[in-house]
Amino acid sequence: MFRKTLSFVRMGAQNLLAYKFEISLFTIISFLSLSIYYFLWHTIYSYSNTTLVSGFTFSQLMGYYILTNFAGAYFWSDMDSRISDRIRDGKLIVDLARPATLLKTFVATEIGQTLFVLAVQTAPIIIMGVLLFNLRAGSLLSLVLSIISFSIAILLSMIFVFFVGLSSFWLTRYHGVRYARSALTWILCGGVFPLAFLPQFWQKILIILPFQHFVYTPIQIFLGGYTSITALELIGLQIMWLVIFYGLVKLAWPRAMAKFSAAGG
Amino acid sequence: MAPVIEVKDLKKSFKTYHRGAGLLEAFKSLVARKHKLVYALKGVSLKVEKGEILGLIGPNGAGKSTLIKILCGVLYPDSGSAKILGFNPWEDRIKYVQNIGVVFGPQKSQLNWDLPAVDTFFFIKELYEVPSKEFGKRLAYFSKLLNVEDLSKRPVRNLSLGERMKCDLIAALLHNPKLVFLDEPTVGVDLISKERIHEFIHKVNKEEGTTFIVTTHDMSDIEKLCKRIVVINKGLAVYDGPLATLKSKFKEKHLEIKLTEKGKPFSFKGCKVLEQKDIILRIEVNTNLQNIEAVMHHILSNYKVLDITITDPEIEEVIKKIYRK
Ligand SMILES: Nc1ncnc2c1ncn2[C@@H]1O[C@H](COP(=O)(O)OP(=O)(O)O)[C@@H](O)[C@H]1O
Ligand SMILES: [Mg+2]
Repeated sequence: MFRKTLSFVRMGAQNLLAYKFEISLFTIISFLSLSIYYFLWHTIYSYSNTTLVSGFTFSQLMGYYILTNFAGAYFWSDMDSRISDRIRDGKLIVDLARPATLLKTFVATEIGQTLFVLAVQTAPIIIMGVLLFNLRAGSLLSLVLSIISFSIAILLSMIFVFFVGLSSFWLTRYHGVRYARSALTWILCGGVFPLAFLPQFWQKILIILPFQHFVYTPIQIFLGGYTSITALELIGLQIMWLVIFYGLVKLAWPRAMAKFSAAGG
Repeated sequence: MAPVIEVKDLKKSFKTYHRGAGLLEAFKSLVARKHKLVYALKGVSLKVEKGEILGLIGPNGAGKSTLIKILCGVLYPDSGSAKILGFNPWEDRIKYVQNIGVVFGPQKSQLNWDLPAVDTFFFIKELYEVPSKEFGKRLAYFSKLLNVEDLSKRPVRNLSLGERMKCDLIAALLHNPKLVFLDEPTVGVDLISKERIHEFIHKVNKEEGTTFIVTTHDMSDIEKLCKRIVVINKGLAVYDGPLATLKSKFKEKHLEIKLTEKGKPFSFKGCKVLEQKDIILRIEVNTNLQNIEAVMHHILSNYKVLDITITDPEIEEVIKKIYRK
């Protein structure tokens, strides 16, 4: 059982090995976008003559952005586009002829890619954060809790992407959905700025949505932004969303397959 | 022993959406999409015993690939039933496919495009939980049979169609499936590779008792591999039986003659002129009415011949004739 899953994970990592150039390109782009955030916020902090914005010091905020970069490694998934491509070029039947659910096939492959990206592409950025911006976990406990929270976030974000990707069974062109999915949710996740910067009203709305649990929750747990009780509650919510999206996938899958079968594969 | 495959009255239609050409039609289709049903299978029944190599032949669009997809469990039929290796393919898909091997044709390779084929082989080893020792033995043996020992270490995108097909065949057989589906395994494959593939299928069939279902256009595949064939046309199985019986019904041979100079119009008993243009002469001989030696003799004594080739009629023409009967 586990061996099967691992076989997809390994294949995913191998896939990426074939794209060494792109990986190094992404590392460079990450450095660039981080330096844009650096200059932008540097200006804001010095002009407004403060050391704290919504409770973040400048270097804490930089630490936050470095962690969003880490989260981006799993969040910026192209799994849904791959599903849509497989449907369009008729190769989904090859995936279906393998002894695994499509969910497992795609999510496990994606996890393999992600672990590879985290190891190769994101590691240098994390090291930079530790050296330059004093990036540290809030405490040992917050480190442990954030590892749990990040692991769930990775799975949650992938099941979410798979679920959205299932819509490509109905759509002839999926790329618009994908674009909306990544751009919109990245903001709601806290990828562009910490959600604490938002007015209370918006924060209250976001708390009932799943998105912050993809990125914001594990980062804040890591940085020690919550008490352990709150952190555990948030992890509980993450698990709840995991179960909900898993249920949604299970619900949607037979319909997707029926649609696929009627269209002829 | 129960048959490996028992399929009854499979029917399958596809929904296709149509629209006329032009911008206005495109807008109309946004509001109301008209769909039309294409009937790909109109009631196919089939029984296959263990260890058979069954040839599925038929013209383009006959429904062969659709049948294969349903038998592999990746498409649902509209109606009909199937029991394959004790499973219902589309209801028990995940358990069922563990026991089969498939090649869905040259466009739908299961090899990872950017990686060497061996990487896919190792992936399959893990996915199907093949014991290491058995895996090593099978891979070495198959690679030798198909002569791909070096090829499988190059990225798949750098392989020729035939080389890729050979690797795909290996991938489909590594986990020792009891039943293997091959959809057009020899399209675009050169003669030598084709022979290797035939030999490979024969060996595996003999040594492991593997049942094969092979679709093809190529008469040589059928002649080399299959004792029994099923002819599919327009979604129906129009013939099911030994190849020999089918062939004995068709006594036509084709002659293609190249002349050194233009000759007089051809006419001879039992012969039909398919084409006569300048120095090219193509005729069909009905061997029930006329023997081929007599025709050759007639030609050689009346024309200045550069070259003569004798061929069986194309499989499509044979099938068209079955269908007309
Ligand atoms: N996805 C599809 N959508 C609509 N029609 C299809 C689809 N796939 C196949 N068909 C139609 O079904 C018929 C059978 O096709 P197929 O099984 O591919 O034939 P074969 O493999 O014998 O060439 C053809 O008329 C083909 O046009
Ligand atoms: Mg076909």
